[in-house]
Amino acid sequence: MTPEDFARFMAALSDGPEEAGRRYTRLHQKLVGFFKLKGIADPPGAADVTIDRAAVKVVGGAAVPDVERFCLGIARNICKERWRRERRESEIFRRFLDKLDDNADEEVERIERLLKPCFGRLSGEDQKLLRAYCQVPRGRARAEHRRRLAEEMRTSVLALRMRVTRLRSILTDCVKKSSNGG
Amino acid sequence: MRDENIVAYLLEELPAEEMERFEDECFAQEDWPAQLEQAEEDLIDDYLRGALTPAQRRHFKQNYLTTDARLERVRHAAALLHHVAEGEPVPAADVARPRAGQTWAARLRAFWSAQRAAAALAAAAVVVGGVWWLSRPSGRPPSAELALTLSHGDRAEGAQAARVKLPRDAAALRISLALPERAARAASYRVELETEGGEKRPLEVAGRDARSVAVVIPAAQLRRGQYALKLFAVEPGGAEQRISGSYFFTVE
Repeated sequence: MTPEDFARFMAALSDGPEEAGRRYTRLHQKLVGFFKLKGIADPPGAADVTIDRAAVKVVGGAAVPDVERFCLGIARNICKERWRRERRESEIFRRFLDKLDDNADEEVERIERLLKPCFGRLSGEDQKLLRAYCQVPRGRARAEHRRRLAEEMRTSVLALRMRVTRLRSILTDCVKKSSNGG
Repeated sequence: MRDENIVAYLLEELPAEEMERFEDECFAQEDWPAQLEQAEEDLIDDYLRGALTPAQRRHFKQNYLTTDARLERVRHAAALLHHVAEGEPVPAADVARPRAGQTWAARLRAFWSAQRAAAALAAAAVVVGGVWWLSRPSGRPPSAELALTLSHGDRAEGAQAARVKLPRDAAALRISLALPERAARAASYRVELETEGGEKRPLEVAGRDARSVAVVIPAAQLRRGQYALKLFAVEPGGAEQRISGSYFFTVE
């Protein structure tokens, strides 16, 4: 996409460049969330592809009254394309599944080995929080456990969950970096 | 947006139009809802802990575990849960920000709660129960406690059963089951309560650490008599393996 095409696409989002920039950022974040929810690899990359395709249509003169909804439609198509491609590689995929069922899942053990130092780099408070959060596994006991934890921390259950999700995300990124030799 | 709806969406238990409507609603919000990721984490944790219903487990495998990225998420969650389970249990009070003006009674309760976890780990087939008046958190009903080890005999062979007398106002019996060495690395556990009459009831696992699994049985479900608890190790793929032997106890 040329800079001129991109500018025309931004103009389709909003007349004002500042508002267009804000909408673009929001649209990109939503697409990342959507692809993540759909289990697509590299959600930011898939979001870029979606916007590129939408921009080509818009610049090409397609009537697009709602750019966000239009992008969602394209994102759904991209998911289908990726799934088709993944299913073509189903042989490898089935092996993954078999491995997951295996009692001695070497991959999980490998991740755990990488996870340990990552976990150790979290603050003592965050380590305790993760351990405590994961202690009561399910059902009403879990909900009650989280409510008590949030109460003890003088925060809301929603904020507590967000904090745990952020910590898990930090751990995942750290493991991936270690895995890539970073 | 309720977690149940998100789970139904992820497991593809909704009709196609509702799936699409769900996505439209998410997209129509000002920001992408953070709750989606949190509910997905819980779903994966539940799967790994064997806490999904049989239908959900089937849908999880057939409809959710369909991409490499999701498999990767499940693996990361499995590694984290295993790592966390290997550590010592952390009482909720330990995670809290220090509170100004905390009373001595509150500090005492926090202390007892930590001691209780340690005792449960160390005990072997010893009744440590009774009511822990000092340790009970305020506003919560008292409970009796037991710590049991695995017995390989059966009741007919006279296997030793720990005895417990439930105080009249006890709301529940909390039992800590010491894990045998070989079973300590399972992704999750399932526990079944068997009455003298052979009736079987699933129990909710209320917690676990590297060496034990805890269950809580409401006092209303317990009459005088002998009981056996059976433990099943659940692997990440959902396969279950019965841990041979039983945990016996008698309610007096």
